Amino acid sequence: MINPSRRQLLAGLTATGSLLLPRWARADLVPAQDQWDIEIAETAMNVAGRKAHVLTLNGSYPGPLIRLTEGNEAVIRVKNTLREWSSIHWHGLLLPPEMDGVPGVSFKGIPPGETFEYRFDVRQSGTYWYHSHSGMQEQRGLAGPMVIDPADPGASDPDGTADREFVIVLTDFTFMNPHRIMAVLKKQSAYFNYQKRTVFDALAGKGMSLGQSMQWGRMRMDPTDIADVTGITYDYLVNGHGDDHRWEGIFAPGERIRLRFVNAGAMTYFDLRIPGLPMTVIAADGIPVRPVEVDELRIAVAETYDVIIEPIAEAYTLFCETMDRSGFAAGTLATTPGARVDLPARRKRPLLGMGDMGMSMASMKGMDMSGDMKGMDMSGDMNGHDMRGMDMKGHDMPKVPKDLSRADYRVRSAAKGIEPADLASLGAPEPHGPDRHGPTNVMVADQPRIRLAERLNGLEDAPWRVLTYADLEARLERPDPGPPTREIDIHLTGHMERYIWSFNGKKFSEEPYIDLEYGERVRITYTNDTMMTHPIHLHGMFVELENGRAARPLKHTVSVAPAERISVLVTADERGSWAYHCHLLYHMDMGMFRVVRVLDGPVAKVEP
Amino acid sequence: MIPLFAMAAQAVEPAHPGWKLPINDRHMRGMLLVDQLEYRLPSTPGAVGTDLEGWMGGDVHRLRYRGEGTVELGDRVGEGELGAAYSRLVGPWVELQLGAGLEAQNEVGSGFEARLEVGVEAVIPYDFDLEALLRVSHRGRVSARVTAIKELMLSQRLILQLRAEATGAVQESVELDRAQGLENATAGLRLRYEVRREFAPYLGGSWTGGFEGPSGTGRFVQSGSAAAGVRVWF
Repeated sequence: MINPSRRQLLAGLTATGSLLLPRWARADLVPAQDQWDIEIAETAMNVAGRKAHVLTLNGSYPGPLIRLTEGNEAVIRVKNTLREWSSIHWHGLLLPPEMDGVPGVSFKGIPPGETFEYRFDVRQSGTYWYHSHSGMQEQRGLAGPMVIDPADPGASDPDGTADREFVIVLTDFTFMNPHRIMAVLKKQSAYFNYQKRTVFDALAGKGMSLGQSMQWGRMRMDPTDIADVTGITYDYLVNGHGDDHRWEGIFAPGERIRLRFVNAGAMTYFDLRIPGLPMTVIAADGIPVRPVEVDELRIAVAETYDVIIEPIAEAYTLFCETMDRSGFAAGTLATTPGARVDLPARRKRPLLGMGDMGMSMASMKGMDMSGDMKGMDMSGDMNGHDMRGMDMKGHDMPKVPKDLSRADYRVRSAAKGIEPADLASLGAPEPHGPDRHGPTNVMVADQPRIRLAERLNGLEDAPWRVLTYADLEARLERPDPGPPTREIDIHLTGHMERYIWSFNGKKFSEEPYIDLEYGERVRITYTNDTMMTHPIHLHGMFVELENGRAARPLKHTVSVAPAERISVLVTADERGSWAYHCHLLYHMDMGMFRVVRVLDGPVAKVEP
Repeated sequence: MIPLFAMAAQAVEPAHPGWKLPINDRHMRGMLLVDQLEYRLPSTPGAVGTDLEGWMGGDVHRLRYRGEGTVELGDRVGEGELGAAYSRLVGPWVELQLGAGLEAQNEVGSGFEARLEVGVEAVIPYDFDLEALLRVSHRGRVSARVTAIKELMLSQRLILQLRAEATGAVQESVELDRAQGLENATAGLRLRYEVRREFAPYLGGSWTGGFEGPSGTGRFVQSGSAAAGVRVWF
């Protein structure tokens, strides 16, 4: 036991909130050990100022920091004291499939009252996390951070070790029963969206011209459909703390601090920043990247980022706005407990643009292009021109490259000290093919685009440096296994109205498997035909993100923006069955899920 | 209903006997929407009306049901209609329906009509909900009904629903006291406030017009009414 019941700790809270809770947030004080005993239970505790029944791990929500050491064998005994089956999946870890913890894919699950012993060799280092893969238990609290110390201590932090470490686990907590959330989304998918555009917004041309509003109406789409479940029901928490009792990280002046961000939310993307303090990103999804200094980063559901900060002032706010701006989580970093820092102003709810629909320029001709082009996401870094403020009215847009998707431009990186990614090397995405993925898919991106270097929706106007996927470059050179021998196209598809989510228009039950031959190298190309951003997670193997960098970054979770085409390479070097899914919990549960089977010998290579 | 059974037969098998599937994306689900439950004026002492619809099933194949009715509180006469149909999503915005319905009234004598119904329901551009039903009664009377609904968001909770409906028939009906041609047309406005998404009181008004049935003169008559009610769903 490393973590006493949070309930007990809460009972001892002082009014000034000077205690640093949970204790494991101070990650460097949690010693690595090889053996862990974890107990899953339902615990009554106070969350965001209200009493709730939360699923806890060793009495803690989020679960305790599990710290392991690369090169050692880890033994984690998980006892399930619930009356229902449970499981723990180690997100991003390389391990034997039967230790991966997905009931129905690679093991049976943990029956009520029983203990399952996870045992595996630790083959990597960095910041990871874990969560239940049973039903909706993740939403009810079963998630926590995991840190693995490198066998070679200097490996994870190129510029030397940090003086202090904080784990920052972001979650979205709800007092609603998650099964009810699911049922409600199925009945009325916009149930949680209280940021829609009214008739008056449309008539007044607020955010977009009336013509553009009409265009959205014609498409039967909603430009405010950014998050399915929002701040209307969620409390957004930093290490379990709501805004009623902000989490505090206390540091000593002059320290160099490593923050290990984990997005353990069920449905929520966060935009992270510490106003007044740049962050140097040193790892993504646990794997070291070349240091990139930014002021803000978007963390997809299930991603992790490690950053270094060197605070000068006495207090800062860690501000984590949700992508749809319906809420935020905030913490304080300060030299003295109880320091008060004003929260930065919250930003306006963004609107999706026509560019998020993946419309081709041809089909946009004749559209009313007056008003601001922000939504089209062309403002970011094209040929170094700033498209904002260009008057498009009445022109066939001669100044826009003929084929927007063509990546024949070098990208002006927002980040300091890093060369632009060579996006041209990725080639120009083809227009969408004739397959519209059946009646359960609403739209297709006619002209998908490479969006790696774009400031995505809601971040276009940020007057500071924003991390993009194009900025990530693996720090450790690996031998290149060569080009892929097979191409797999996966379209992210769905039907918002009926709340159906799928790959290539098919749910898990309609098309359960993707088979790979052991040792083969494949390229998976995603095309997002939906208006939502999806974090796609492959268990058991890292994917190499093709982002125009010579040293491709490794990812366990790849976020795909609307109308985006993005590809990853994966070498099928881990035998067995692996879950592969959208990590938005309610999308996964609706069928945006596959089992990837890595099999010996030839496999039937049907297009999935 | 055959596709329902076909769907059940295709179920993906667990990887090992005794295991469960990692997710279940085939839950049967359902919804009941009572779009109108209202008190209507000006008839004295008023009338109570309702209009409801619901579904059960999966993503593509559903059982749809609906009902509507009006009762005059004074003389307790009224009319009502029930229907159920197999519905299949054939395109992202279009579903086809095949079902049966029953309509009855006791305003002029009493009579009923049982029908076979074929329908199409679609969301058309600019987010209009359209529904068209073609019906053949047990006496061979052919009629059709078209409904269009558009909702306008005035604020995040204040919503104006516009609803228009027209029913026409090839033959008249003595049982239902309905005219040949335009039986009736209705256009209504309902302004609701969503206290919760599931619970919204409203105020509204509507206009109805149509040709009088066999018991009347056959002339075109029209009337207006105001309504107060509540919209709920489960």
